[in-house]
Amino acid sequence: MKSTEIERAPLVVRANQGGLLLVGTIIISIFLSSTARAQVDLDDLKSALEVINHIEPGGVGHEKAIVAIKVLNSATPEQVPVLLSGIDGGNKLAQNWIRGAIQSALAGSDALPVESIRNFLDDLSGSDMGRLIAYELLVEDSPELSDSLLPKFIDDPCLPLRQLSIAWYIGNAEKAGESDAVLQLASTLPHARNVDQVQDIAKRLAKRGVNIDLQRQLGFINEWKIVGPFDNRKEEGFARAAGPEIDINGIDVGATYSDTLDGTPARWTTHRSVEPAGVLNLIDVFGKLKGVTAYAYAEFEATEEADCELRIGCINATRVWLNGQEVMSNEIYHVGMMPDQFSGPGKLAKGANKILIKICQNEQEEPWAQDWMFQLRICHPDGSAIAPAPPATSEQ
Amino acid sequence: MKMTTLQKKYAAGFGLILFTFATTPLSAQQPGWRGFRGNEATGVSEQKGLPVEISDTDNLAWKVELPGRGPSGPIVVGDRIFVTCSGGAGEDQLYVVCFDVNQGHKLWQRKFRATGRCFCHPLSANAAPTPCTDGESVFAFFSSNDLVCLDLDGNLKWFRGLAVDHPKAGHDTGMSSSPAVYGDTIVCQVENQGDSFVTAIDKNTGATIWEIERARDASWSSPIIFADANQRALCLLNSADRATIVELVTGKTVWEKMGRSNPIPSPSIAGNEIYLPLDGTTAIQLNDDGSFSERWTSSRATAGSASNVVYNESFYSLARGGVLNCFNVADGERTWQSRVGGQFWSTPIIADDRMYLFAQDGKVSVVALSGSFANDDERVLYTHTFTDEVFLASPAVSHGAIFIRSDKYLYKFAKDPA
Repeated sequence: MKSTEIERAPLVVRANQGGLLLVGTIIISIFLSSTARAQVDLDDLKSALEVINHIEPGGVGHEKAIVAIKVLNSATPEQVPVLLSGIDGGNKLAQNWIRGAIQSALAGSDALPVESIRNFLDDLSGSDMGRLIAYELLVEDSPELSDSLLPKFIDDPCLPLRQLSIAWYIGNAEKAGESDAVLQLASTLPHARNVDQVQDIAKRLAKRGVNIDLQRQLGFINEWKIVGPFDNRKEEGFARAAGPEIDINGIDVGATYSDTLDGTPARWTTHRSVEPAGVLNLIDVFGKLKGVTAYAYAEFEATEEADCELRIGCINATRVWLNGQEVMSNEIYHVGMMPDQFSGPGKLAKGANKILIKICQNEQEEPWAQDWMFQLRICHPDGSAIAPAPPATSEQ
Repeated sequence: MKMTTLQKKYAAGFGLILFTFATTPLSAQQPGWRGFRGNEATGVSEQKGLPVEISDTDNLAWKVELPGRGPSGPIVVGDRIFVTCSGGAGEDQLYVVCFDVNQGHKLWQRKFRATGRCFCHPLSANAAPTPCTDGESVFAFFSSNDLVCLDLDGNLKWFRGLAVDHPKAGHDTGMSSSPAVYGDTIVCQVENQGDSFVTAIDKNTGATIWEIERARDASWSSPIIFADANQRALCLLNSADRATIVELVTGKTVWEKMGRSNPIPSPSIAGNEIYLPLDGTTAIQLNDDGSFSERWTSSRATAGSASNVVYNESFYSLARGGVLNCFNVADGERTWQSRVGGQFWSTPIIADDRMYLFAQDGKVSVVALSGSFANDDERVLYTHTFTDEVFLASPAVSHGAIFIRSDKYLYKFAKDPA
């Protein structure tokens, strides 16, 4: 059993800040009780935002944050841009705290500071979540604005805004004639970053006779060397190295491994997925086995060094390594499968990059717990595919 | 196990709280409908004079559109009713909405963005757990394991993303366990094949009081907080292979029974009896010395997806195909059966000697629980189907009215709609 030791939580603000915030809150409360809402002192707002942006998982930082949020909740509609500016792009928890405060600041008021919020939205240096909230505030205030705003976000660095924009373009294409629809959908496709939207556009194009290579479009790796089966009885194989994992920096696709489930030596074999989203079914490779592990290996030829994300969809437990470094570990069985289900950041080196996946099947007997399959794509952090240096894969 | 300072603080405070609990019925102190299956998580209301006919025209006080879907039920505090919803392309937009109970006017709406896994079965939604309240705050929990605390005016008090702490927490059909609050403690049951745990959270700060690891198996069942004869606050957890009772203050297990459980419905408590969806139904007695003893197990009394409801020496169980079974609490033997029809995710409620049932396909049925009938199918007093609407949520009863939310609307039905 674990218990969070609140009393040991690291202090994230100046020692006297909590006291100042408390005094500020009391003063504000007294003031509010006797008159209409007045602007909160800007320094108090900024101090409170700093506290909120230091909230950590596990409720760490909450003792100060529950005081600071009262300050933010007291902000006036005119001060909403200050709150938007205070959203830390990297702290998903703090974003929601400040989002809540923005809604309180605007409660019961029709005085949305449209111009300053619009300026904030147009400034690409703002945090993604701050700009998304700015957009939502403007459109909630004037729904007709979406038609003028959304077309501009098709290449926006804020992915949720871009996603809204892509949806707008798809909707527009569907209103056009068939030939225009094809042109509009095809020109929209390269801008889409969300897998569901890419697949949606491809489906709409296919209905009109235009086929998209989704594996290439999304960066799914479709050819894998596979070896196994190794032992995963009682799910103990997940944490135990076997076969190629034992010498993870020296993987040899010509090697033979004898530490298999039944001791039969296993060699790498090559398999290609023809499924549009790169799904490789391991039951097709090994048959229907339970309590087993397989390894999949591929080399990705990068044209240059780059930050990347490996994004996996798998209904079984997985571990993924890039050039010998583990980028994700997902010990979870049979909770569905979808593209981009789990992701991990990595760094591609120029030239050959070695990707190893461990795919563990457990011993559940239920009919819905029999699948053993995976899909993996390699992409930029924004979700766009990283094209491999030609040739992408060798022919079988 | 060493107690943290926070746990010690809670241990000291519970004595006073439980004295109040033991001497005054909770429902008498707290009007309204404060969580999943009401104030005492029984699904039974003492309200009288509720309408039998329920339709778009009969006894409809008001009907309001909701900003999103959700199997979560409404809760009522004072003259305010609260509903959670979710929406957006990825089910990542989380809503808490507050309406005036009397007129149905929207008082406020708050939107947040999920920090955890939003994927759900298409029938379900991120807003699956029913929120709960202590009368001063609303605690809205979502399948993405986001927990929002708002005051009754919609001001954020705190926000927790439990999936930020436990990134692998989630299930492919979505999570639906509703939180429970008692004293200063909120309990969230997050049992699944990934990061599986139960946690107690300080309602005042959102900080974690304790956390216990659970077996990596899915449960959609909701925790129930109750007190034993020694005024000890306990929490009952129904999991896939067991039922567990833990101390509310520490999370320490005080009783556990292994078995084949149905992890979708929640257990039921009535008086000093617990009815578990374990090996069919298993009845457990809370003894005066704080111990527990097993009374009987009935494999025939198998709950479907809706939770059993205990009322007047009987418990009612909805089997597949919409067959309502009435069992005797004394021995688990069936006393009657009625074919209501429909598929049920919504736990029915009992009020005014009648059971109100809301089926997935929009069909509402009202069943008489007292009286003599030559054929038990005649117990079905009334049915009506709301076309193109899906009922997954359990209703609330308050203000002499029944409140039910569909995938589109929140309804109030009362005999005097004006």
